[in-house]
Order: sequence, then C-alpha cells, then structure tokens
Amino acid sequence: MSEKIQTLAGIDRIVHEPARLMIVALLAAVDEADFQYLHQATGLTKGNLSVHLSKLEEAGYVAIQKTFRGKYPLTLCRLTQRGGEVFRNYRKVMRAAL
Amino acid sequence: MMSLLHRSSSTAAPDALARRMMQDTHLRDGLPEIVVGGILLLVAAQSYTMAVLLHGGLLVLKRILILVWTLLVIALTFSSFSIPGATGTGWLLRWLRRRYLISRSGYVKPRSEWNKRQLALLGGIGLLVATALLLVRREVAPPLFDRGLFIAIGVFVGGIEALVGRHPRFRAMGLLTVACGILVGFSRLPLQLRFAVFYAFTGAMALISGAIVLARFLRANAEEE
Repeated sequence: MSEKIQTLAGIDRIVHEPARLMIVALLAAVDEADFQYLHQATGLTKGNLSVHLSKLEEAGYVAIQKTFRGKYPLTLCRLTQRGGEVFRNYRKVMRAAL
Repeated sequence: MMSLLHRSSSTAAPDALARRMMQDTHLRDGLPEIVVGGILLLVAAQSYTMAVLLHGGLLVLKRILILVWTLLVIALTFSSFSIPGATGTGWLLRWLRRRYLISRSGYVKPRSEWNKRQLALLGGIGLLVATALLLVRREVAPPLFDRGLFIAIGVFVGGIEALVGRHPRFRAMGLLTVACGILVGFSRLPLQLRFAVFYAFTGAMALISGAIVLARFLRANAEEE
C-alpha cells in the first residue's frame, strides 16, 4: 500500500492543478476545441484560462494555433502526443494509488 | 458541462465521461434534433401523399407524382441516415454551427466514435431484422402483422431515443414514441396513413424539442455575453 501511495509523489504537477486538469481532461475527450468552448466548459475566467493554457503550452502538453474564422479570431487548442501520454499516466497513477 | 463533470466523475469511467461530454456538446444547441425532425416530417408528408394518391384509381399523372416524390424522399433520407449521408448531415451541422453559432458557443471538433467494424455490425443487425420481418410477414395475417410492426417500430425507435439520448427530454420523447407506436398500431387507419401519422408525430416532436433547446441555448449565450 505504501508503495502505491508513494507513486503519488511522482505525479505531474502541471496537470495536477485543478484548472489545468479540467482543460487537459476536456481536450483529451476531443480532437480540438477553441478558447471560447473551453471558457464555457470549464467556467474559468478568460484571463485565468489564458494563463493556464500558456503554462500547458510551455510544457508542451497543449498545442495552440491562432487563426481566423471569417472575421472572428479563433484560438484552437489540442492536446499534443506528449500531453496525451502525461494525462493517461496521471489517470493510471491516481487509479492505482487511490 | 461543469455540472456534468461533478455529477459523473465519481461513478463513470473517464472514457465514458468523455463520450458523455461530447454527446452533451453535440446536442446542446438542438440542431441535430431539428435536422432529424425536418427529415421525418418530409417522410411523413411522402407517406401521406402516397396514402391520398393511392386512394382510388391510379392515373398516369398520379403514378409519376408518387414516383418522383418517393425518389426525392428516399434520396433525402438516404443522404441523412446512411453512412455517407451522415457525413453530409454532419457537414451541414458543422457549417450551420460555424456560420451562426461559433462566436457564441465556441468551436469543438469531437472524436469519431464509430469505427468500420461497429458500422458493419450495425448494418448486419439491420439486415437480419429486415429479413426476419419479411419471413414473419409470410406467416402472420396482415392486420396482426401491421399492428405488431408499428408496436415494434415504436418500441425500437423510442428505446434508441431514450438509451442514446440519455437526457430526460429524450427519455420523455422515447416514451411518447412508444405510446404513439402502440396507438397507431391499434388504429384502423390505412397502412400508409398510419406511417404518415407515426413519422409526423415523431418528426414534430423532435423539431419542437430541438427548437426549444436552440432558443434556450441562444438566450443563455446572449445573457452570458
């Protein structure tokens, strides 16, 4: 039991933060989503969401692409392969430990 | 969405939760129901036309009208519910959402859930059911068969609605569809007219439900803005 608990120490802290976990969990369920969708789905403020997305992008977990759809700016976000692996590993560790 | 995460996270497996989230997203603006409702109403109109035109002698003009109308509805239904057609309907939904709703609701591209094996299995089951129906029709007297057919269609369509939709509104629609199937099955109307009534009822129900959901969705997003 203690060995299982100890695996929690190695958990990814970037993904573990609740707001970022919500973003990663949402992106893991879709191919891609834009900023507005994530804003509505997570309930985070736009500023807060932007900060967390930047952190995830810096870590290489989320790829962000800024385009336009007609006149509207569109910020597309998708989970990278690395992000997907980290999230799967996070789930595995949490399931095993708790 | 948030409430869904909170409500289900303790019980559902993450993949199931993700699928449910995507389904919620797909159904949140009511557009899929509006499209399906519209198609069912067209099918009902076709059945009604057939019922009216078939009543009495078949003139050449009537025959041509029936043929054209039937081909039109078959083409439309095929283009909506078949595998390649579902892509067309999906394209229409995406276009409508990108054109009119993206600034309010955001854009999300769901993962494709159906693989070729599942689709082949579904097609196989459909073929088996159709063959079984043909065999049963040979053995059972027409009035009894027709009654059973409508009840079976009602239970099947209603069950699919309730199980796949999972939302309370789909469960209610599923129940009403079953009730409609039973009522239409026991009615003494001609067969074509019974089909018309059944499709009209289910189509109108889907259309009204979709319109209400869309109106609420637009109002909620306008309030947020």
